[in-house]
Amino acid sequence: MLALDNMLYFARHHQDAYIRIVLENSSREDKHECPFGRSSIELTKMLCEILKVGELPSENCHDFHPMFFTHDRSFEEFFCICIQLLNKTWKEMRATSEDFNKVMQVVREQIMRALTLKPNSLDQFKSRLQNLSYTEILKIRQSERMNQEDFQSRPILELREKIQPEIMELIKQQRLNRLCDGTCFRKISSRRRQDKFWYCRLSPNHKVLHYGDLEESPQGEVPHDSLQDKLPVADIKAVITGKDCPHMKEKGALKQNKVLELAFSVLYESDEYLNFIAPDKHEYCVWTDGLNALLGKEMTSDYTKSDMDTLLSMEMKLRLLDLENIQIPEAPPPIPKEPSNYDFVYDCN
Amino acid sequence: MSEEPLAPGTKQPGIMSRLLPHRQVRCRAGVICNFRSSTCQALVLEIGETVQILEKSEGWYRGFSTKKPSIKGIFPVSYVHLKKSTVTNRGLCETVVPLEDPIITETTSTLQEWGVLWKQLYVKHKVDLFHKLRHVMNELIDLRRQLIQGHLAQDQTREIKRHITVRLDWGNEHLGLDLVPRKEFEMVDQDQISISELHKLHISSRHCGQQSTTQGDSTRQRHGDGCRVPVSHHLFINLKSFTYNSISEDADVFFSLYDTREAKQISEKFMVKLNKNGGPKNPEKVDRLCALFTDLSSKDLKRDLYIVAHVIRTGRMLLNDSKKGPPHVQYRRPYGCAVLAMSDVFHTITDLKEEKDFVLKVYTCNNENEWHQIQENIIRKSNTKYSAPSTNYGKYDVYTDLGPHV
Repeated sequence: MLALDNMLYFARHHQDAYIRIVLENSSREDKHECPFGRSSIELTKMLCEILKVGELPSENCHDFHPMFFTHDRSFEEFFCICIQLLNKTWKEMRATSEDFNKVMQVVREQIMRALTLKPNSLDQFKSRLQNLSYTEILKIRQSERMNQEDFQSRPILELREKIQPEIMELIKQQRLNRLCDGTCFRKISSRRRQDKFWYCRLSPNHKVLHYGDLEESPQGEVPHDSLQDKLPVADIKAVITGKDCPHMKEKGALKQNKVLELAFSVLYESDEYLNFIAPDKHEYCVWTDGLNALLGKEMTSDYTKSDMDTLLSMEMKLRLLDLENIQIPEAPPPIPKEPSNYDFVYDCN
Repeated sequence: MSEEPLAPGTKQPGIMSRLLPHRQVRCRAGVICNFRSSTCQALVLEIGETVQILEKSEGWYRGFSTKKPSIKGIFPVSYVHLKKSTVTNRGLCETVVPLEDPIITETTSTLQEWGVLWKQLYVKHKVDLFHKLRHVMNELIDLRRQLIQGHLAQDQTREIKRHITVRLDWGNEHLGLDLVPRKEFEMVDQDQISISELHKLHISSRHCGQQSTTQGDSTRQRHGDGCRVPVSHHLFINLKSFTYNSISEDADVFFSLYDTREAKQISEKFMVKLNKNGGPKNPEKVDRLCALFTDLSSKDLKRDLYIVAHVIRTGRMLLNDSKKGPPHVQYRRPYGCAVLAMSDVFHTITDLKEEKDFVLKVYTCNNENEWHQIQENIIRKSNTKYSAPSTNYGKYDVYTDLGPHV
């Protein structure tokens, strides 16, 4: 009955809007019309639910909606605003009659969100609703989905820790593969003559570093045979970076900051050094990681961290695909006691 | 202990000591917490794994992980979350399939397949594809999530499915995986549709896939409602009897469809092996010498089609050779041919499911040089080139039972 009252009020007091809505929807031919009668009834039901109409007021509740005190027939006005909202949202969602419940869900969310801001008057409520169009709701939902991925519960953290070493192994493989492909380095001489090039690469069995001078920048892969010198990996004692490198300590060496960040050296035979200046940060990270890996040490470059992040987060997402929308317990549930008999009967497959 | 399957809720007869029945539960479930316990026969489970459950008892399920189906064990009820599933083909070869939109299932399995390849791309340092694929995978995970949450109206759901299929096809193509034929965005079951329809689907999906990679996201519908479903016709042939008189040799009869205008065979050959008495060589095949010529299009039916039966006998070199002789020396020799015009078939068969008997007369070649075109000669009735087999050798009739099936 209340719904009919509301519809009547709407038709009488907001005639223009009423006429518009009814005409709009009755002339649509493509099954996308919003059913006025059904929506009014459902909407009235929903509003009563939201406002807890008919329930006893709670003693402890201090929530008041100021806007209901501003108008004599505030509930009916509230209804009018909401029915127009429903119509608007229906159009925005391009809904058909089968999607009725989904539209109601969206409208409910819109109303709830607008109400939590406690508007002081019905007009304010109306303007708040205008900001909560369907596209807004979609954006809000999307950001919630993104946040959903911020998994923090214990079982998930345990899984993360378990997978981490496997991913680290992948990163190590990648770094060593890159070393095997080799890189062209520049020799920076103090005499500002034409820069010379030299090339260094790891042998496929990871046991020897081949290197040698080159006349000009290479176009493709440089085969091992053309590189004159070798350094067995087993002889490498340490990897040194930055300002501790011998070629950075020399006077007259170009001490620009950029070069300092890209410099690294390999110490072998207790006092011999092979000095490198990487062409860019990426190569620097790859080489220092790779050399550390060969020495059995941890890979510590920035790229390792970001690669680990990328790979690990994707791996976690893939593993948890089947648990979409399922509540994951914070702590492991208790394990029941053993079953009293182990005579299992069903044994297919 | 007997291993019969137990109906749910019943106790196994004859064993009075069992107090609690094992309830049969056939379901898939997702593991929601890592499980490791020293309880006897307990499985080790990781969060996110999928398990299949066989039965339940006292707060424990018994089943196996889909990663290692041969190892069965128990795990607590509280550690898994059941998914609604359907069981098909109950019994030894049953499959338990989760009840969800097939696009979601396809997306899940494709993403997991790609995950493995994506890591390999990383190791091989294929940077460009690695980053693009990562982007696409994240997009797919989000789209899939939207579908699962189910808040969207129908129009939008369709849009999301279209988007998902475009991305899935992009990824499959760039990773060198098979292209999935689709109908209404869902993967087509190969056992349910005909070959020609499958071929058409492949072509149209390929075409749409290329469109969208060159033009960006085009709004072209892959399978609009106006798509014509190809109608295929099928022809069912059953060889009822082959009357053979005195030749007493094994024979093979080859049936095929022949287009006389283009002078070529348009179908494969259906071979029937007959013994000396004209019955099937394989005794189990009595009354079952039948074949189905499938996927004839309407265009095919308009051709000048003939059913041609070639008979090849195995035995002596020439029919009038002496019957006595080294028995192990067997030759495959052309014997004769019979034809039946499809137009005759169509005139007599009015109802599409009707079956009718036809008698085909077998004619032999006058001159063996003409064997390769004996069917043409019979069709054109060039009488000099063939003849009914001489009365010395009896009459040879081929009875067939034909029916066009659509």
